[in-house]
Amino acid sequence: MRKWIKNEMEKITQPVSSDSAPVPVSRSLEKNIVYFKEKLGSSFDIMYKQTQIGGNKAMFIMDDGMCDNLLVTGQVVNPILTARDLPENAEEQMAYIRDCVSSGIDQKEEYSLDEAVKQVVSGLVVLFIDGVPFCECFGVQGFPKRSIENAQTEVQERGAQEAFVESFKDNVALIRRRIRSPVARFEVQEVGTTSQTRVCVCYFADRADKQTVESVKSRLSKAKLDVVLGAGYLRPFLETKVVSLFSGVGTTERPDTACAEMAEGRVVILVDGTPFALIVPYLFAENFQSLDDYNHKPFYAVFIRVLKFFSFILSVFLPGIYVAVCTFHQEILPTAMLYDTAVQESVTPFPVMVEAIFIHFIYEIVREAGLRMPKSVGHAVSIVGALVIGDTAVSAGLIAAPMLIVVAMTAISSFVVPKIYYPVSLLRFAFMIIGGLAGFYGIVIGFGMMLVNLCAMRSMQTPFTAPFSPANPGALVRDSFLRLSWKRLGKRELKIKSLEK
Amino acid sequence: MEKSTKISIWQLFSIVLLSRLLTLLTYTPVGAESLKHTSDYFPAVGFAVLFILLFSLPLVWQRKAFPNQDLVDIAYYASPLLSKGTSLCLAFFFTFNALTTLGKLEWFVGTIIFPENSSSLFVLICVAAACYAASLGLEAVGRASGISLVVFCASFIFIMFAMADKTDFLNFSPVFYDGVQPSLKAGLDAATRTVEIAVLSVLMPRASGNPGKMYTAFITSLGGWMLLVFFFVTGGLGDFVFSQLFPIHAMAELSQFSVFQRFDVLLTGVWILTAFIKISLLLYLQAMLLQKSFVPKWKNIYILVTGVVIFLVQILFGGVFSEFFFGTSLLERLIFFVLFVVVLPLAVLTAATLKRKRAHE
Repeated sequence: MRKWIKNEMEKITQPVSSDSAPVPVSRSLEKNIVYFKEKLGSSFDIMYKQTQIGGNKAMFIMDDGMCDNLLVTGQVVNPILTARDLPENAEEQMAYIRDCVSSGIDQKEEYSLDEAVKQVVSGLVVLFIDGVPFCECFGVQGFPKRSIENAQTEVQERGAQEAFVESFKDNVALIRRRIRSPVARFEVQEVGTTSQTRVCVCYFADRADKQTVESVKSRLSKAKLDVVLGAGYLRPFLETKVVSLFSGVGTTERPDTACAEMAEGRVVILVDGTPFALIVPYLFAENFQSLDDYNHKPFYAVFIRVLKFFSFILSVFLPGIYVAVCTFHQEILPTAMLYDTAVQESVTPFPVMVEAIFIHFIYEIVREAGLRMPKSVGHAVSIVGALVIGDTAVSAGLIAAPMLIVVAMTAISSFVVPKIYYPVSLLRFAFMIIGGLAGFYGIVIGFGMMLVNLCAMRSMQTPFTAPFSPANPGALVRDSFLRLSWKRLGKRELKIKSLEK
Repeated sequence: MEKSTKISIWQLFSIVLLSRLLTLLTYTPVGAESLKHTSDYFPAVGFAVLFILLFSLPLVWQRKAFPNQDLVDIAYYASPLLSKGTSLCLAFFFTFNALTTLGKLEWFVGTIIFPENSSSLFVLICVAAACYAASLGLEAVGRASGISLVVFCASFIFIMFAMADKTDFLNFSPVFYDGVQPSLKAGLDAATRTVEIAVLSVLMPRASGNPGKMYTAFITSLGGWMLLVFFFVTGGLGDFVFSQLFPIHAMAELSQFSVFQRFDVLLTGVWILTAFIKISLLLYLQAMLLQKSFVPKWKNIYILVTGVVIFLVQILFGGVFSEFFFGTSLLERLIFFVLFVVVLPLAVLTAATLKRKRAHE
């Protein structure tokens, strides 16, 4: 079966192109131009400007949309074309341009034509001079980008409001602005055979585990991908081998969160074109923390965390327990409640389990539609969902009113812990099915399976369930369920490596 | 032999304590024990602890003579054939215990939880879940048991707190009213249910930390829990203990706090969670032993095959294993227990020690 599926998939796919041998820059300008035109085809955005520099034939190549035209003129073309006292020898000419003419700092020599092509499509201006066996690249990038805006998915009450943007360099700057220390390291590598997406591995040199940093870099370099259009593409390469609904790789759109994670010895990965950063190692307990916890008094932060844990339990188990109670364990309910629930459920045509699955499925459809629609239409979808489906379905006797209460409570609870919304919504269905088939005791076994699965996970080398299990009393008291005051927290930073024991 | 993963000594403590507490939860006065007076339970706990210590002597010897080796490795030192035999014996013992644990759970589910429905589906879900957990390895089971132990303790303390006002000191009879023998027999009976000694003989070398401390904590906690549970059970139920099939469940049914009642659901939930962890552990152990002595790559196959076997045996001959607890005499159970937990380790240790002595000479 597996072989058959593999064969069927191979029929509709082809292997990702592998790297070919690098072609060196030729001394002949014509040959270089031919190579460029062959590689880049007739793309209208690639501009070629042929000129003479000090009597030698030369060519500027740039990608119009990726460069800032003012910088190109002011930093590269104008100074070079108006330069005086240029040496006659082509190679010396290029060296003179590099050292004495161009006013930009971001410039480098390239000896490979493939690399030169890559630089052009990355927004650099490349200069070839006839007779020179290398080219000079000038960094004058200036492509359209979104400005820094407020965070959308991690809204904070009292902290900074800035969020990452798609521009990779801006994101690095957002982190660097907060951490003005030489220990913050930003190492770039490229991932994706065709997209050549830049990925930045950010960490604090004095506290990140070297083995973890190396492992991240190695996993990223080994990632066999053709195109990387988002951070999510890289997530599976950083995940644990254990198949789980939960993820050992965190995401954040907040630069301050990224900085806080780096300060605890974690590695943050920025992917060009994605306004979200990946975080490893990432623990289960972190899903219940937010930076706002650190802006409030510790008592309130502890209260909020307990509230979040409770909401998580409610959002995963409540529908399943309701189904189990209505199907198998009616005796648990107080008499008055039992009578009301029985009356309501007796008029609906479906068994409680089917009813629960159906209404939760409808709720997920409404949520998904509201999420992808333009905001104006999204409101209409919410109204249709709440009033038409909810109210009318109860009036029509299709679903019982208590079930609607359960759905509403579950939905609201699941938004309290948004970081794990997706695994929670899937688990909810699983527990509804198991609760309908084997009652509360089936749910207990399901919980056991979920627990063992979570316990089997590791994020890089750190157990996903740390500091709960393996129990680490120091970390538990310091900043998990409880949170100490900044007076005590600030004295020492957490060593993430210590949670591995 | 494969490179084995290590767990912390406190994870091992959680595993064995949780496993043994399950046996305590499923305690039933029907069968071999011949206690007739409630207060005889308290000295029986003391005797049980003494007998467990006695049965653990081979474990102490193993720890002293071969500190970082499990029983199979020690047997391998004596002879590869003995190692295979030891693996098979222990694998059988653990599989048998998985069966009896499942049998008792199924029996409880079939008689108390779903008396009108077939419990086959429940057994299937339970076995499938245990197979999955076992396939994830010792670390996962160890960490899960750490969390489960906290859940267990919290739930049970809550039940006992809710039971406090039902406790009547008039329910306690004089100690040793019929002499020492009944308590002694009950203590011995409790000790023969401590398969965790065999578990420790295999897992202790795989735990990093001080095993002495862990073992002391295990014995102390077990004794403490037993005393606490029997105090509330006998204090609450009095002589009704002897007419209940599962007295601890009956105690949970009685407990009440404010408008909250029916804590038996909580107890049963904890019971099932603990049984799930124990069955997973036993499945893992038998697979690990077979893997060590036979084909190392077949870990998941061993788990799957054993899972299917225990499911089928439970469905087809479930009653036989339930009867093991209710119908077998104390002497028969003692012989069975001593054979695997005392005689087998002693034989292996003697053979290995002799070989080492000869090698030194």
